[in-house]
Amino acid sequence: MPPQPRSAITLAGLSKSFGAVTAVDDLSFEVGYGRVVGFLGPNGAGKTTTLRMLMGLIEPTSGTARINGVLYGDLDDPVHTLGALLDGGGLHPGRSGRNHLRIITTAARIPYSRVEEVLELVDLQSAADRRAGGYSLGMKQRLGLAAALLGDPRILVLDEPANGLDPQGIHWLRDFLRSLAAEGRAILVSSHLLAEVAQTVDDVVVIAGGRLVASGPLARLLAERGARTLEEAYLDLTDAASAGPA
Amino acid sequence: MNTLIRAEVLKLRTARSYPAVAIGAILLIVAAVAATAAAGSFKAGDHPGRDSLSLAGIAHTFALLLGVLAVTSEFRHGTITPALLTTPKRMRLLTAKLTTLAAGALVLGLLAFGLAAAVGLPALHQRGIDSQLGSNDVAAIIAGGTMATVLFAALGVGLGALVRNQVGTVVAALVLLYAIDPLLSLLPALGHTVQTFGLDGLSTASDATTSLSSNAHQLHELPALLVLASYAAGVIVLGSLAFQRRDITS
Repeated sequence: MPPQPRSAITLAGLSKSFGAVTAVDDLSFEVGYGRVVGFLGPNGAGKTTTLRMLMGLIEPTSGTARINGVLYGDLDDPVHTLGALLDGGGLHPGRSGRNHLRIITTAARIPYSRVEEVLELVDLQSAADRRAGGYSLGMKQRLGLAAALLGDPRILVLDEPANGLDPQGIHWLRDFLRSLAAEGRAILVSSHLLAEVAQTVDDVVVIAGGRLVASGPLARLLAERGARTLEEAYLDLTDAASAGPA
Repeated sequence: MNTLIRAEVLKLRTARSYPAVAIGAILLIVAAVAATAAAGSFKAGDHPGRDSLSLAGIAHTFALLLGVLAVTSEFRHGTITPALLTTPKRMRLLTAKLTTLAAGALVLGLLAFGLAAAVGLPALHQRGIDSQLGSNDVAAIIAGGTMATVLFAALGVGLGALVRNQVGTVVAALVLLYAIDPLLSLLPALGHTVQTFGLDGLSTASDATTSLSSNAHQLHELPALLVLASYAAGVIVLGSLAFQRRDITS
């Protein structure tokens, strides 16, 4: 096995324009192993576009987004390398949660027993045979998380994973992400729940208008901004970015 | 590629619409053929066997729709995202889907035309009506009809990859097949060409059955299948190019 690169995710000068609209503008940051990185920014800041470029779903206009130093599309075994939860997971409403997972394990050559394991992990066994169209938002999130975990990946990318989770679910998610990071995994998680993020992440990356406005360890960011809470620092940063020249 | 095809089969099996549409199509065909053969009135100059079996040609329309649905539903429900996260090489995913739909359409076509012959011909015989079909003719109808079912499914996959919008693609396919094609075939200048090379004419020519509107200017079975295959190939190439480049934003 080649030596594991220090950085799990590396964005370098990543940009994307849709017609005349610049969604992501010269974005560079890294996510290291053993770290939980909060990816923050207002609605429309370009978070989802960035994550989709990382996964090869959207072609960057310029720059690169690499996983362990290679493009997602060039990974030998993407499902075992990186697990992603994007926009609720893309569920067919007529298909059961269990079958949604089976399709992934079949395509990725993962033993079927793993489906039961992840269903138990996200506490979705009792609903696994119901059609996903009837799931609550929280159940869809759990199923999406289960799908991301199927390949037991060393890297996780989670877009708003706490959406729709009840307080118990959010508490569980926080502990779960911390335990995964303690195992040396790299986790990039976007969220609007700043108080929650502050309890979970090691580092933050803040973007606004597609541009990087701050990145680094959470404690350092708070000290630099003279802020007591992440919310205070975040509002200060994103207000400054939106008030500045476009 | 085998594992990808197994995953595609699982997708079709676990969303109830596909098996339901396929089974519904076969039941509809068997019922229509049986009713025509058992109760239809045939005049001199008609071809009772071919006329009855031609009803199985509706399998082509269903195959086209199943091909369209298999691709566009991935975009409609956003399942294209987990599909591409699992299989980032888009052409491998599309190839697996095309192969799976083609294999499914092969079964659908064989059942549709095979059952139509198995039900329709004995019913004619029982009424003392000469089907005017030898066993070679029947075999040619089943083989041609089945091949055309496969090609229509492939055409649907290509069309779905090209257009992506589910309702739009389904409506476009049906309007083309049932409105534009028949209307154009009525035009004096274009009529013969459309009857020969339009999808409806190719559909009936490919299984060597007659059609009231277009039997006069049809190709023979093999050339019809080749023209149909070239259409499918062209649309698949265009659909692949679009699918390869497209940003997946939801």
